[in-house]
Amino acid sequence: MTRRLAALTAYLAIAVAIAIPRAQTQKADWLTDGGDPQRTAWQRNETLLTKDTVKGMKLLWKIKLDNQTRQMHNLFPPLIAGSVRTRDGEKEIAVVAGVADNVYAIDVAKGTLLWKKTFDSTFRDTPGGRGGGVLCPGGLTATPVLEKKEAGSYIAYAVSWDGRLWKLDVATGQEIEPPALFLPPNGKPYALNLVNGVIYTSTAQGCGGNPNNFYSYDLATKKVGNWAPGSGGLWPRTGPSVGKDGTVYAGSGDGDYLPEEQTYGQAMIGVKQNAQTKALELKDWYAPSNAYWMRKRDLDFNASSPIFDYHGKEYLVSSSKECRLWLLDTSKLGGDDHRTPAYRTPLMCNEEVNFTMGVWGALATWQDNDVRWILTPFWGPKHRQFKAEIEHGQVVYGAITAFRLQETGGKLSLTPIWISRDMYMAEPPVIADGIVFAYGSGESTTQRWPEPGHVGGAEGRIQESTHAVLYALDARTGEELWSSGEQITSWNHFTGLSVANGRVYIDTFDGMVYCFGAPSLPAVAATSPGARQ
Amino acid sequence: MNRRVACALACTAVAVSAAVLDGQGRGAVEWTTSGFDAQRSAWIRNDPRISVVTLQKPGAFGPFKFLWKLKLEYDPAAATALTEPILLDRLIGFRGFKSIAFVATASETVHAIDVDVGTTLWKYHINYSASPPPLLAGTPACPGGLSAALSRPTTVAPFAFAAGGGGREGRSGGGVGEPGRGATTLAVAGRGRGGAPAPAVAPAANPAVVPGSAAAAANLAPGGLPGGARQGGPGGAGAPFTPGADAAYVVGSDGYLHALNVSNGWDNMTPALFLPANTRAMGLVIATGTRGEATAYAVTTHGCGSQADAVWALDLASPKKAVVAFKADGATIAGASGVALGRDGTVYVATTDGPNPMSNAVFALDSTTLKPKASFAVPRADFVSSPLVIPWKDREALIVVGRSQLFVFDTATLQTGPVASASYGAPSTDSASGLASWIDANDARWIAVPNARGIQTFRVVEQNGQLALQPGWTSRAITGPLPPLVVNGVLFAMSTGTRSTPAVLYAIDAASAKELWNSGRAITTTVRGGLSAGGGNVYVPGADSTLYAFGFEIEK
Repeated sequence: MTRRLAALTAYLAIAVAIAIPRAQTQKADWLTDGGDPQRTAWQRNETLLTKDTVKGMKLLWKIKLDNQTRQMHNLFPPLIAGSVRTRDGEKEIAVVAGVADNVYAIDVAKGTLLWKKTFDSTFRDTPGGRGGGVLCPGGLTATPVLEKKEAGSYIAYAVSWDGRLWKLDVATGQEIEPPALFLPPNGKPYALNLVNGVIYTSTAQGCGGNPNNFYSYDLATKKVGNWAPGSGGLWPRTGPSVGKDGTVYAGSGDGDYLPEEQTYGQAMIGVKQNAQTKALELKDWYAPSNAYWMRKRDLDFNASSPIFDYHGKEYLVSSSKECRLWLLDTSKLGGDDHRTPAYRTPLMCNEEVNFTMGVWGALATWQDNDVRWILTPFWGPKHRQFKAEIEHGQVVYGAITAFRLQETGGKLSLTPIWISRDMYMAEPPVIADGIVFAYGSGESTTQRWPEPGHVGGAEGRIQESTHAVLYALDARTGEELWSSGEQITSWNHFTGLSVANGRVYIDTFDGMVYCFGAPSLPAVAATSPGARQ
Repeated sequence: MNRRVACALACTAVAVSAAVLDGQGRGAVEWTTSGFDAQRSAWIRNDPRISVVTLQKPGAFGPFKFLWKLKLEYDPAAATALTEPILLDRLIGFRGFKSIAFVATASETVHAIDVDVGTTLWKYHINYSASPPPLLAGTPACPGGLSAALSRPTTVAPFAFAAGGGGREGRSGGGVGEPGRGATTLAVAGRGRGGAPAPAVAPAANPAVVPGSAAAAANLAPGGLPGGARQGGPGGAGAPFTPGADAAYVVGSDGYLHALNVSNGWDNMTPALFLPANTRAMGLVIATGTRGEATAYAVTTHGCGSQADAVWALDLASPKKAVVAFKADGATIAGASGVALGRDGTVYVATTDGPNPMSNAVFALDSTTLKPKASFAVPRADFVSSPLVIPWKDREALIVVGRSQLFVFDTATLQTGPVASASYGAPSTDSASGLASWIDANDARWIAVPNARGIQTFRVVEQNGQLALQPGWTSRAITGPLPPLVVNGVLFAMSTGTRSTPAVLYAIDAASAKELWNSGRAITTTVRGGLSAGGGNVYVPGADSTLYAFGFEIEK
């Protein structure tokens, strides 16, 4: 009898283990902006949110953080450490950086603040210069990056306003070691990436009078490498992407393309760390054949470019404010002449050739069995000649477009499959379990310059901004499955989404972090204040 | 410091230099007034696309060619002349980045043209509002209507004196810092463009709406807000517009000076009465200095509007918009580009032949009061051009075209007469001539002047301690050539054309006189107005109100 009971118990234990959703035992992470070093923005380990359950997605909690805004910046995308060992037990923690040199840790189960770290600064802001503007807000501008050292132990790396690199214990917010010299102060680094013990970032806009560079911080040797394109800034919103051989990619912005003079403005550039010297060296580049036109009209590279494998080769896909996609073979970025992509789409938008339109932020990609999808957001009306197989209404303010990569007769092409509904300034999407999470930021992106009757700069744009709306779309058809409607009451600028373990995070200019989640997750009723009553 | 770090610092310095030069390289050189600059040099030192090499043989940019033409006209029955196009290389406006040419028709409509695509961005028609009725049926000497090219703010500190211009970006490169010492760029942190605080410039007070003193001097009734002009509104980012700040300045035939918003053509300020009505205005230049001063200069010529020829100056920085004048007392002011300005702001003007005591003379005027500081009359010189000011060693020289000779004056000793002269042949058929001057690759200074046959050049040399003109090359035959311009070693000359033979634009190697290219039959009319150039293009205002653009096609 005892043996039978033992067998039955074992059987039941196995059955229970199988029945418990995978997310409860294997927590997913979202360690870096854009989801992974390749910036695919694809959460591969999502199980709670499905195309069915997302229709019932609900607001789980929201928390207001006390970070001070700078120009139009406030909070950066939350990074998720799925399973952190704390003194109060295992917790799933969201690490949120704020532009005012703050880093916050949130218990995502409760929506409460665990700790806050404010970086002391060695930088003294002087009046004048290229500061105090939307392009150069000052403060902390790079989304940090998390590293999972071992089960339960995570480190957060962040760069403060003064350019120093901080290393924090995610469980406690404590400094693991004193901050290290890394970048010039008051620059504008973009989201950090971490690959094989090296932290990468890039800078743009020449903020603080600092030249625009790729940067690398080698954690083992504490050596910093830098490489400047000679022209143009490097401003991929979710940071540079890294290929499997360690090459780091970012597009250089408006500048001169004069390769005979080693000047690489208006180009997609790949640099790689020299393993011995730790210097960053130019590996390859691609400059569009109409780079001069792009420079003239400020249509430059500005989006993080995901990297992926397809039919045994590695590719990178990128875009710009011009509003078309370039598919590049990373083994030979622009072909023999550095001007020939593997494929170039027609214009999706920006018929007006306006620098405030086009693609902004980051692209995304995911593998659907044997189908490779590429997604991109864009601002402004759809180009009248651009068509997709499925279109969800007129696009006036922006949308997400999904392409399918195909190979026919050895030639690659990107076929537009669907265009989403209209979104007010569509922002970089994230894919999880066959769902595309996207949002319209609600931000006024009009860059007002001398024109009678208009207040320009951040002040004017803040007045004109409305509120963000989060959407869940069927990743194969673009059909809208869910919308946050009016639940999000403020807008955001230069931030993004994070998705992990049934939860979707978005933050806004008023300092609020919203957590929407699967219907099976418990909601916390009240809005909790973060760090300040 | 080891070699690796030193090398890294050098690379970093290059990158910083690039960041510094970025501000100079982007849109730094613009044709902002007749004859390009306040010195009327008609010379663009550097250009991103035009060079002898690219004109000679198509390269990465493809061939130099006709790009587009655009017919501009407000009233089909009105005069069809166009002014010399004034350029804005890069406007960051609410409709995006634009490169713009501002052109006005004689029938008083200002057009802003997107030069990358040859389309109109905006138009603004000046409604005549002076008391004397407008001159509708003029004569060749006094055609009526709008006659002076627009002007954008133009620095008095002459570009021609600068060591360089149109700076380029730097080279790529990088470095490695010492362990624990951060990036090599820390050594040069904050020193690039955008790192140093901007110099404080006190904005001028908001102007009161007061007619200029020119109205009283000309016995005209004071204007108020001219009919059709929109009340000046706020400037950039909601801030009040400071007269003298960037705008497309234009003076209508009613004598009112407008400052049009470059983005949309709105009046940035209440138009200021500047000149008498119905005169023939030439050479408008908005001259700016380093201390916030801004003065509009123009000349009125040929006795039009029953007014004696004069040089006029309007102090834009003053609340009252005070106007002063230097009257030529019956002499005729020479040239199509008005006055030229010296490095210290001195105003130079010349007069044609005539019985008047002020004829055949060159004058140096005080920049503020326009009172003569010096002058010299050359008997029977019959000056036909606006002066040209060039730097010469530690001083300046003034060059003026006479009926058959070029005359050179040392501006420091103007009152003692010319220091050199040279015959250049019979003058071109165009009544108002003009010069161009440039420095070649060997640092030699050149002058080009149109004559009846074509373009004649001279090298400016020193002989026995004195400045002299040495005959240079002579161009191929060009019928009725207009004043030329020079871009990055390429001289562009224009035949005016006739009823039966349209005008032709020529590109000539400024060092060798070799013809590099011509426009063939692309232009289908005559040309009378001034050429301009910039950003790889050359603009030709056709006499039938058609604006032509030549350059290298941009892949879009």
